[in-house]
Amino acid sequence: MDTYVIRRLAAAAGLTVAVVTVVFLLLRLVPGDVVLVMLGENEAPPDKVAAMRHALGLDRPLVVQYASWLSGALRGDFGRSFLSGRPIGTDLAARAPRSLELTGAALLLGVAVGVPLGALAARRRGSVLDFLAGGVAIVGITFPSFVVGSVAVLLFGLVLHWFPATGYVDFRSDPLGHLRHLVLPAATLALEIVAITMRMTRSSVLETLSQDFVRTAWAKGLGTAAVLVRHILRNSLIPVVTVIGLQAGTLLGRIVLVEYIFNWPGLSTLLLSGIYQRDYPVVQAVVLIVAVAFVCINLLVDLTYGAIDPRIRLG
Amino acid sequence: MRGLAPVLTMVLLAAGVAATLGAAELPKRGGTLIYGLSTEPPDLDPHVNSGASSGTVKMAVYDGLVKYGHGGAIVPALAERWGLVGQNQYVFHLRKGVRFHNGDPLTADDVKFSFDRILDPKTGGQLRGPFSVIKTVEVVDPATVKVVLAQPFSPFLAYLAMPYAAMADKKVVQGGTNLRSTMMGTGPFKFVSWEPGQRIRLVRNEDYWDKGKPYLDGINFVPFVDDQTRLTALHAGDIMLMDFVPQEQMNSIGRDKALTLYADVGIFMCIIFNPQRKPYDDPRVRQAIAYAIDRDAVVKTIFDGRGTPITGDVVPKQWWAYDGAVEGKYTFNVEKARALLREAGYPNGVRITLLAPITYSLHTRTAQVVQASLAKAGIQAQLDLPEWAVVLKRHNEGDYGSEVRGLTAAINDPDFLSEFYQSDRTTYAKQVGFKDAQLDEWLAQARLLQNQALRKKLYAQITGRALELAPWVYIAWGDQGEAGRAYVRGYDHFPGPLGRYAGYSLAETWLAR
Repeated sequence: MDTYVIRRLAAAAGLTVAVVTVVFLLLRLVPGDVVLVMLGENEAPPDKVAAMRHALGLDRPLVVQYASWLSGALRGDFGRSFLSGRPIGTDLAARAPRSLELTGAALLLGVAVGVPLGALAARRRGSVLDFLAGGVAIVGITFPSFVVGSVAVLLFGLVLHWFPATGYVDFRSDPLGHLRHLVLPAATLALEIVAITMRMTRSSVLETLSQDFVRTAWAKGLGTAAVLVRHILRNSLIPVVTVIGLQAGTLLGRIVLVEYIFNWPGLSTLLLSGIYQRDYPVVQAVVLIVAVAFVCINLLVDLTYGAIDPRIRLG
Repeated sequence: MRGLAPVLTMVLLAAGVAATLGAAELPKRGGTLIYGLSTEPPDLDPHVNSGASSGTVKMAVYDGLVKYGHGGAIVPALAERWGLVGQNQYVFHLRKGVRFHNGDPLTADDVKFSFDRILDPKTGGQLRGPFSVIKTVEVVDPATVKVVLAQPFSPFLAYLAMPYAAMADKKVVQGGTNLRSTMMGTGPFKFVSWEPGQRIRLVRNEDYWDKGKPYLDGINFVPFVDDQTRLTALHAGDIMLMDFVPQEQMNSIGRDKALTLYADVGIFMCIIFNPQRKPYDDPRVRQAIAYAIDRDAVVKTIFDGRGTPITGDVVPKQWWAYDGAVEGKYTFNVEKARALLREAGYPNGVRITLLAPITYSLHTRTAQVVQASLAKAGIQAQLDLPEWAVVLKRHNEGDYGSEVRGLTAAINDPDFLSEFYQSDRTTYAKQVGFKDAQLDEWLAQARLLQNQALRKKLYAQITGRALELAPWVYIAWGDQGEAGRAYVRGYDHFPGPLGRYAGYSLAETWLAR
């Protein structure tokens, strides 16, 4: 394997461990105690609290807790939730695919709309289409997803009744219902991606349009579609791929709000309730999953560069 | 005009008949109720209190010996009838032919087992405290159980009707089934699945002992993390019923023709103190605070007008135990507050800290209104608003001065006052370190009495003394409740704090569409 790939892989693994370690330590710095949350408004005599802490393994030295958690996680055993006592792996297995699906759908939708729109806007620079696309971009970039989401719920859910305002249906029990529930949250998340990939594609295509090889392609008598797709787009895509990669990363953050607004039962609600209730292993597990996903996406972007542009590999 | 009279009469008659018909609308069978819960249940153990939302799910699947019915009356459930032998022996006769959802017949063994499980410290049962009065539970025959109490205990049935006294299947539990993650009861609905974060699915128990019920084919409990999202879901029709309607939304829901609001007084806001700290150790300071709170402002801003200021006794006005004598003791009176502070040695006013969880807007907003009102009497309250988890930690370590709490009466009996005034009750008197020998004695006496008039007199004495000592400062009762689409029928929010047990009425709930 070449050193570029190895270097990137090693950096990715290091980063994941660093994130997980920092989160592990930060969580324990935050005041609040899961045992007291479990007892709620009941009395918490010291011996009872101590016994519960012992049962949860919270009385062990931090290093031991960390080591045992990490070794478990590496073997795919995330332990049990302090509060519900359920294995966290089960919850993750049910929820992670839902978050992944939402992210994937948003990314796909965003790119499928953003790239062609950007290319067309560049090709017809100054036209009404270019102007409209610019408007969409401004809305998509400036409005945070919780505003877009709330407006979408209000308009398409409550007023027009085109789509369900909230919720989730299992794909196996009702495929059409599942997709209908997916539309609003995915579109909400996708809007910013549309905006950014559109802007990026447009400026990149504009730059490529003025290149000599494009003039040559036109001069050869190639058709518009061929020049646009084969020569211009291909050469404009590197910055776009970077931006898509970065967007996929920020999506993992924005999805928390969107899942919240649409009550989409993904990882976010698990993460939020875990944080509120100081259910450490739940938070750690979710953060680990998200960190791994983030690092993988970046790795993929790095490797894709290498594939598209050999100069990066060699450099 | 004379000629019109018969016509009018006929019209009125017809209207009357129509109205009667409307009232006697026959329940329709079928349909699945989608119920939006404010919190996902952390566990499903019938004997553990894991929050009111979990309680609703448990009430749909489990039955107790008795339960709360319409108007909050205690009605038979698994016990067809019961009798009191002497003053402290209850004999329960079980309903015949009742089966658990797996087909196991319900027997006296299951009843004894369930009591044992509640009393076992390992269970963490909600009713372990009040049930510690139980001396023995005897199986007389497979359909009869005798519960012997160590002493007379008038509120026993009121506790027994709570969902945490549910009957569990001995065989199933001893077979190793984990009741935290699955359910096996005798109730109107059968547990099907729990898809974390998504829903808890129940279907109709075709073999339910209350023949013909339930009307619904099933219930899907959908957990939400955000109240605003839940309201949106109700407005959009994604859910049909929701618990814990945010108080500031109740009036607008009440006006909406497409929705029904089910609410009644259910929560009271109060301030608790750390009597180990200055200046909270001085009853005069606590009294001054009691005088310096503008309770009407709290009711108006926090409960949107849907509440009652508590100027005397915390016992709800609708109860037999309510005694008007102390009413109006603590009304908003800046002069009195200042005078008490001077007497206590704080002529220039006093600084206090007021702790409230930012997690609950009801608490935070109460703290803000109280702060503004205390300032008028020269009491400078510094707000401390961490998350709920931090509040609990601070409270446990005694690291607080005063704190806003929202509490309720656990049962429909003035014995709930024991929680606040009896020094050895872990919720809440012992927690705040309140102890008064006289109150302890009276509370113990009042529990033994069977005569309601005598009890009422004693409780009046208790509340009178408690108000003087002012270990707590009561602010206001406010509404709490559920909301549903207008086509949801038969659902019943029981009066007062018993509204929390409205889950029992899911057996009679149906969909008119």
